[in-house]
Amino acid sequence: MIKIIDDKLGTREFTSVVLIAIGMKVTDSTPSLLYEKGANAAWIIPFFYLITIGIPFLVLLSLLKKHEKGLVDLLFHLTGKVGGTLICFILSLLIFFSATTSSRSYIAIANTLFYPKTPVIILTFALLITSFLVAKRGLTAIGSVSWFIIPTLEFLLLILLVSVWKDAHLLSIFPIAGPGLSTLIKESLNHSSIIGEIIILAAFFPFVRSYKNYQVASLLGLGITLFKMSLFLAIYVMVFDYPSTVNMAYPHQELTRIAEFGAGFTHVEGGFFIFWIIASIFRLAIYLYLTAFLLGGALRMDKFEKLLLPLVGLVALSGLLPENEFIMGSYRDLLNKIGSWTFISLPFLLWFLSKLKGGKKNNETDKSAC
Amino acid sequence: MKRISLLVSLIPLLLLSSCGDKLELEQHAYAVVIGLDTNDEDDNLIDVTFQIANPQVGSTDTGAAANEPPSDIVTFTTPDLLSAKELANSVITRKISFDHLNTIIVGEKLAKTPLFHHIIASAMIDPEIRLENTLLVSKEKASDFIDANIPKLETRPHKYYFYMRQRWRDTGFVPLSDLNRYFQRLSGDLYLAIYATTEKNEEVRKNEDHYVAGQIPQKSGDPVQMMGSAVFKNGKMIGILTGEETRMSLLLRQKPLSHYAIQSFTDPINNDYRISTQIMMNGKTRVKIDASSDIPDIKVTVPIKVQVFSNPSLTNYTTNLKHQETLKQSIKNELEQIAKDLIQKTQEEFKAEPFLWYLEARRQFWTNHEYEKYNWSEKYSNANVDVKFDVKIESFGAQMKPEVIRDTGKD
Repeated sequence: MIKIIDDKLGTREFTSVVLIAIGMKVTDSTPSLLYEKGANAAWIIPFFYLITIGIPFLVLLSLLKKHEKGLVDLLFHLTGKVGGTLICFILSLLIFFSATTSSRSYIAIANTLFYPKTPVIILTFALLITSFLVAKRGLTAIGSVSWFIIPTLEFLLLILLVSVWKDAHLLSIFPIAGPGLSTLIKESLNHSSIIGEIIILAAFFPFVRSYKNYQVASLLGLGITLFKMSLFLAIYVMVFDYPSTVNMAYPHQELTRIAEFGAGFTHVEGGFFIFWIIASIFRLAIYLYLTAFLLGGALRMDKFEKLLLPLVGLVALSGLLPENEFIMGSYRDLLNKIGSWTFISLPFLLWFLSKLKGGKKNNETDKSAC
Repeated sequence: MKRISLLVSLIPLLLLSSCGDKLELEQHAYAVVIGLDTNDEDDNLIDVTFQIANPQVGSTDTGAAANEPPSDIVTFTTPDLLSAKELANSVITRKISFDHLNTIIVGEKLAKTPLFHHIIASAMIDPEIRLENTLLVSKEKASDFIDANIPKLETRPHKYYFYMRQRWRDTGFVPLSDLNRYFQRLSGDLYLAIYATTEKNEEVRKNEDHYVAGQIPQKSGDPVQMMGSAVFKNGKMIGILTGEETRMSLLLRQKPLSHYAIQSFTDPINNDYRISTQIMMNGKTRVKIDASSDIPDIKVTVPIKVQVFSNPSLTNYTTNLKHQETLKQSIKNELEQIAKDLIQKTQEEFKAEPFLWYLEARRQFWTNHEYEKYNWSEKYSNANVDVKFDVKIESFGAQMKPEVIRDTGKD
């Protein structure tokens, strides 16, 4: 089959990018964030995300369709130069901190469970330099490799599910409302940024072949991510039961350690780990690229890829600043709150501005073409 | 130039292939069993016993180590498990690794102190201790248990525990007790751990299930008896269940793990004899709980299939349908009686249940707070429990009728 060869991402590539950027979260320390307040009912939170993030995202999609512009151009177009610069900068800062916290948390996982004696600094540099090299290849390369690895990753998750099924007690997820519905709704609002990053991924709109591709890919990616998140949040509780899950820093890794294929084939976590670390490298690469792209947008730089190297250094240094992962906890909560509200309100703000501008003819010169 | 710099930047990648944490098989000593005991002199210290496998024994490499024992057993006194691991290297030249650890043995004395939970919960911080490790409680000191446990046919210790665990599932005399289950059942519910001993205190009983470890009459053979279970409540051992009680508690659970078990019942026609049967689950145990009032109502139905294996009284149960009905009724009554006694024991002695009914009870509540306020364990001790066995006799073996010696009255 002959395909049009261009530098753009198709549906399946962009779906994979979404799945790696956001879908991976259920395998790192994100679940413990949700379990803290959501307790055994954390698996319901993704359903609330359907509303808290789904609606803003649909609003954003309609804007993308109307203006046929990526998020960065849209910001400059609708909020003017100063506003665009400011918002782009804020968004890049949010993604930057997200990249920092998750790189630190990945390193903590690798360090505590697999390489206890390797110094954290070496792990940090090894992980980030690899991500940098991946990011340097550009989003097209990231996208096609993501499509290459995502089937394996999802298949492994399925295998993991099957192999721990005998240890799962379905009834453990009760009482159904856990800490109470109001707590759950509050939690899902405050932690919306976990999924809300899909809104920032709209910055990659110019890299996708067409609006149709983008729409299908992002909705599919979002749907699969939410489903997977809900399923695994429930599985962790079914296997480890509440309140054990609350005390677990990395439930996914704990689950891979329990997994076994028959009595003779145990200790299989290494196999899961390899693919997981590859996926995390790609995830960090996507985040680095996104930060660079947004920052480049804020600074009106065409060659934003030049920013990757200083950024990766910054991520590494700021990731190494806290002594351990848990010191970052309170900052992460604050960031999550700020991020969540930014992500939820941004599309509505843009929509409002677009409506406002829609009346008069748009005669602003649009210099934004990055 | 560009290529060279790219190559140079790839070097850190090699570090990810775990040079920092490389493991040389040769340099490791694999502890397969750990024993934990209280220290006689200091209450806050524990005695940690390691049984370290000798990989050369039982392999094709035996020739080089013909006179070496299959395992080495050492005991250290330390404040916790991990410091014992480090201290052990003052004696053992190879680095101790828990990668192949599969059984943790706890002396009954330690299990009965609050210290036990501290030790086991803090041990979990070490990633080498896995949630699927089996927990076993020994009647004597764990170090004595490990010392005495020299199975005759299993030279390598890890194989012994591996096969033992396989059999456990079949008989149901002991529960499946791993650390994951221990940590699940800390909030008022009972956790059952395997109970075993090498100390014999033999008693002959008519019912072959009604033993705890150590009481089974046995002549020669392996020294270890595993039977019954140690009952833990809130991380502390509070009692013992016999083999029969353990099996019954497993039957009363909604998700049974034991598939089939051989059990004998009193012959209803001729009470001097007992009939041996194989009982199997015929579907899932159904538990219905009404937790709306202060005295919860619990209704349990256990569907069971019975295969008659031996019939020493030689009564005709096969073709005589009336006898069959009597047998069925008597099996049902007997099982219900055992269940009733067990439930009474848990309600009065332990004031909590090992049947995982709390899972079903939790379902009745909307939030965790409501459930915690209800205090299931406490309510359970006053609950009305009604257990029904739904017995089906499936087969009577390969003979139509037992071969009876006809008393012709001639001699």
